[in-house]
Amino acid sequence: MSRTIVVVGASVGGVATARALRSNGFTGRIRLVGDEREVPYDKPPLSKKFLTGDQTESDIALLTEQEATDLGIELVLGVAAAALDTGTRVVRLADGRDLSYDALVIATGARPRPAPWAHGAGVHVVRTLDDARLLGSALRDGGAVVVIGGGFIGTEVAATARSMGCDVTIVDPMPYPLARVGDEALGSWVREQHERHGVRTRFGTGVRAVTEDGHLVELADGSTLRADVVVLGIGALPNTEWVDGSGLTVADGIHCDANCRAVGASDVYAVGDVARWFHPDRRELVRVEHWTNAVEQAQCVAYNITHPTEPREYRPVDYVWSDQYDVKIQVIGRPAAAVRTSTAGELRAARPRAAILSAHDDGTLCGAVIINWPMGSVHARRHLADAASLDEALAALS
Amino acid sequence: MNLALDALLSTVLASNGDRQDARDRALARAERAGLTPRDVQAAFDGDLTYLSDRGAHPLLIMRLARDLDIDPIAALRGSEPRRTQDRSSTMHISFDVDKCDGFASCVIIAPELFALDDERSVAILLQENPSEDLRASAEAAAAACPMRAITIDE
Repeated sequence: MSRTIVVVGASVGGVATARALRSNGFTGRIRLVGDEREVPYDKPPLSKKFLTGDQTESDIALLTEQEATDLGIELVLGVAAAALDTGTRVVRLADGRDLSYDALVIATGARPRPAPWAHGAGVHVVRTLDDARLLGSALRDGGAVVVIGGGFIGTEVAATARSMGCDVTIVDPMPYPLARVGDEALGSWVREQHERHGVRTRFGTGVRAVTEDGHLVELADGSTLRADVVVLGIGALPNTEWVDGSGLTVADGIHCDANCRAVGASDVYAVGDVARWFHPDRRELVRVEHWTNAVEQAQCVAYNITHPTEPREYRPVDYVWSDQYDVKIQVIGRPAAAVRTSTAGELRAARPRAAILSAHDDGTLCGAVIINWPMGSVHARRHLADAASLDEALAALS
Repeated sequence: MNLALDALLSTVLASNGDRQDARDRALARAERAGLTPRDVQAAFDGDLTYLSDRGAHPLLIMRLARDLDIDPIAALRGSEPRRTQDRSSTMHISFDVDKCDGFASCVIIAPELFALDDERSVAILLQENPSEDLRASAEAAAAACPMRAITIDE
């Protein structure tokens, strides 16, 4: 009898899962459910080349209707999943339709974290194609842009807006950008890049409110910034509400075991931003909101669904990148856990090319930040996977 | 195919400048990498016939010849041509180097199929028609490419 796999969420993780099911030889029915009407699209360009207009919808399509047809993937778009019954194995859609499954993959992603302070209309976020269309059109009108949040999204939007000729200010209560992933060495260098390109930075200062329909940003220190465009990038929250009452364990994401199987039901898996799985190396529950994690976790889940007697544990080496101006930043592993760092290459050259390597107190490599250096990234990822020491990695890079 | 030797050759090609130091480090690590001191010597001396016989990738051998200014045709004359592609395989990998942005995820996931050209900061496809047993690696590399520069055709 033919089996049916329902994948809820048609973004990076969901599409990668559907494709990987076919690569792994699954011949049954695949139904891919997405709440947006758009044909599935890639997310990283939304804060970069799609925003500038250098890339269009067709450039960032993840799965065209033709590809879906060729792969035998049924697209169920423009309708959200509303409820889950793990007993009868049914996903109920917002329009009342019921989809039965033999295996379910939850890939509903995350949504922008709302601001903890008051704001009226006119504050942009960057999560969906529609968000990016709106923001892109506002940036093309130019003027003063205030970016709230100095993480990846915030710094990328700031760099893009600057390249489009806008007058840009980044605000974040942390002392330097990318503070959640890197240390001060990286943060102050990234801040220098932005300042060199003419972006104003207000680190160490929070926002109290955005008023006047998104035209006045009031900072915690009492000062104010006039804005034509305000962009908010302060993190994301997993989209789990639709499974409430299903018996699944939900706490900052769908709680999964090391095989990415949801706890509390059989034949339910989760991938991407919404999954909080037990990382066997770190011995803790982990949720990761990066592109590469969604893709790799999708490979693992597709494998586990198609090889039920020999499931694999999901133990990735973290990997995330950011393109800002002419700089590619790759963050590998967990540099933020470091007690010691060493730098190979040149961070402050006209054409920077460097690796900031981080180690635990026993000298084992725990992470690396690579600037414009593909070979450095290859070495760092291999050494991290081998649990090599910082000194070994440094020797390979010098 | 000799992955350890290919990795060594990539290192040699990347070590423009202080080759002596690179050789010393490679020798120190040879055993752990599954290589003999003779392998390391040949890689640094440009002994193309030996490297070819040991199964080094032809593309890397050609690049080494270029780096060391050796005429590869003359050096390899008389040695057996090696078969690098599986003719029975139905898999074909397409790699659009113009899309490549040097993420190098393919090099990490499928070192049998992709190497890194350090000079140009782009990946190099090593085998267009690899054997079927590399299909999973190829598919995983294609999925993990943020630029979608890799496609697998039947």
